[in-house]
Amino acid sequence: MIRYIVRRLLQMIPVFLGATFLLFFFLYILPGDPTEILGGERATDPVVRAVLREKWHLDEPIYVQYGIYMKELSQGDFGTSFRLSRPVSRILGDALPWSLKLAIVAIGVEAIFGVIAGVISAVKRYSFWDTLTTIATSVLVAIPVFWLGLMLQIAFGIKAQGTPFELPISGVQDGWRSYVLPAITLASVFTAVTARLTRTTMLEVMKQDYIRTASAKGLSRGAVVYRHGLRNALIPVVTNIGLDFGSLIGGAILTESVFAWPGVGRQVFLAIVNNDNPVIIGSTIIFLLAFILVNLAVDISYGFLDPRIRYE
Amino acid sequence: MQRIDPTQMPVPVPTAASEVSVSLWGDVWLRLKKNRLAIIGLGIILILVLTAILAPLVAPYPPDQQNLGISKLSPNSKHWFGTDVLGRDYFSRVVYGSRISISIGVVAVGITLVIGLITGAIAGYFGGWADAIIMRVADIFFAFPFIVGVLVMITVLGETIPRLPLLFIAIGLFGWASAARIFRSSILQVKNLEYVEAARAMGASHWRILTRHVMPNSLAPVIVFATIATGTVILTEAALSFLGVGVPVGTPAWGLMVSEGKSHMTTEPWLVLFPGLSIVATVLGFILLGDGLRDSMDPRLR
Repeated sequence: MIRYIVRRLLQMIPVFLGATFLLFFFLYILPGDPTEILGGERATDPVVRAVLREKWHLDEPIYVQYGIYMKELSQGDFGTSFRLSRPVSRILGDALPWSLKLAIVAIGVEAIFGVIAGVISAVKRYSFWDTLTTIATSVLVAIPVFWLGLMLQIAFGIKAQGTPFELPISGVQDGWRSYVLPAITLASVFTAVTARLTRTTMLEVMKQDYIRTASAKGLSRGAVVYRHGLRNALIPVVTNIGLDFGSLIGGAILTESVFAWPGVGRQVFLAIVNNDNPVIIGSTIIFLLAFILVNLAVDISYGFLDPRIRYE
Repeated sequence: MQRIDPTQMPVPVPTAASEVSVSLWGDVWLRLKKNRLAIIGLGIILILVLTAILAPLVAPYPPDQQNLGISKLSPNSKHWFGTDVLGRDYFSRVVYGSRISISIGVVAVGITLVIGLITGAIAGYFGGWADAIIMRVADIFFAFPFIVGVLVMITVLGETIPRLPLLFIAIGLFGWASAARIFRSSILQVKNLEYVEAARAMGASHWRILTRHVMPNSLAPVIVFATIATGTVILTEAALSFLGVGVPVGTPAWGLMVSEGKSHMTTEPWLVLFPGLSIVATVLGFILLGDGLRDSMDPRLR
């Protein structure tokens, strides 16, 4: 087990280095000159710009800049934002908890609604509910996330004004109520995928011999479906939901833009628009680490969820 | 585009001419015809393609014709979808928007497929070092946050390369890894089958085996992928245009129209409603067709 984890971690290193170098490559051929942002009002002064270029290693070749960055990163230093003159670690440290909290709520929405819809449509196959789930999941995947956010804002922010259904449509000032619309928006596509996966695996499991045995020995339909069926069907579903956690953190750019959510997605978007390279790189590293670590955690958890799987 | 799970793809169906009288594709079509949702999807796509081609005939007004005297009219008999802030007929703009969505969907998925098919075929067929190198590079692109990659590439190269080609390249570059993975695993299942061995025993070259025997029989999962990916690429373009880094300002593109209508959505909600519904219908068409194709190509469902 330990050997497996170490081997997987070692496999992740080239992915991490490759992806960050890819990003460096793109940012390095950037036509804009960061010293214009760095210099502020004195940006026209060539001496100021030369000093800044020296300080930020901007005249070094790409691999030297990359080496310097990686060396500083290994000491926990993400660099300083061009635009805000604040340490990137501080900016991301402020933003990450908001992204994590939103992702956790969205995972909850996905798991509850996705699994319930999937189980109902599998157990009552070809019924009205099954057809409804099939159509609803297709539509949910087809709805643009940003547009769903705007529609929810119209429905619950503007049309519902003054009614008990009114919900906050931007920012995080209103406690748990602030989470409702962004979490639904962020979870929409993922919920649809989870519902479909639950339905497929549930149908597969219900065909197995041990289900027939359970029914034959006189267990109630409920016990067969939930104790024998669902428990076995949940293994791929749970791992899929786990993998989504990585995508939810990296995929929240649109949701965070629509709802002015102060998370990493919003920071990286502002940084991209403003050529703020250190923040772009820092946020991407967060997304990469989330993706890599979540994948690893999910792979390891297979063994706990399903004792039949062994890593040797 | 990143959200397609390779394990959900059907296993390839080898053609055996002696066994069936209809061709593989005739067989697929026979089963697809019975799938009502897939036919609805196909219908949506056909209507959309016709609309895009015949846009000048379908649209009652030129999409850029401004008339400030009739700014922000609500939908009526002369202007079915109302008019926008500059008094442009919104229905005509939505009609022309289909051209952007369809062309981005087709070209960007085409680029994704070309890169994905070549790399996936080499990795799957030859294995060894080529496989190891190609798939490690694919891992990097797979792990890279898709939308961040596309956004960075567009802002970095936005002034050197025109927007539309840049969108095609960026989406293709950050999306090919899924296609490569799917095609590779499909080829791995086909390449050791008897008829491939027979071709090899008869002295066929690698090129001939790959292009005549292995690739045609590994295509089924890729076709499903391409259909659904066209839908997701249209979503991506809409999202980029919504964020202001997609097509140039003023273009009648659905994502951009939603973005421009956003500030008026309290008083003129149709400015957000109609382009949004067009995106939903279009993407839904590709997803329904893709699902239907998957079901009719999957031999396990026979």
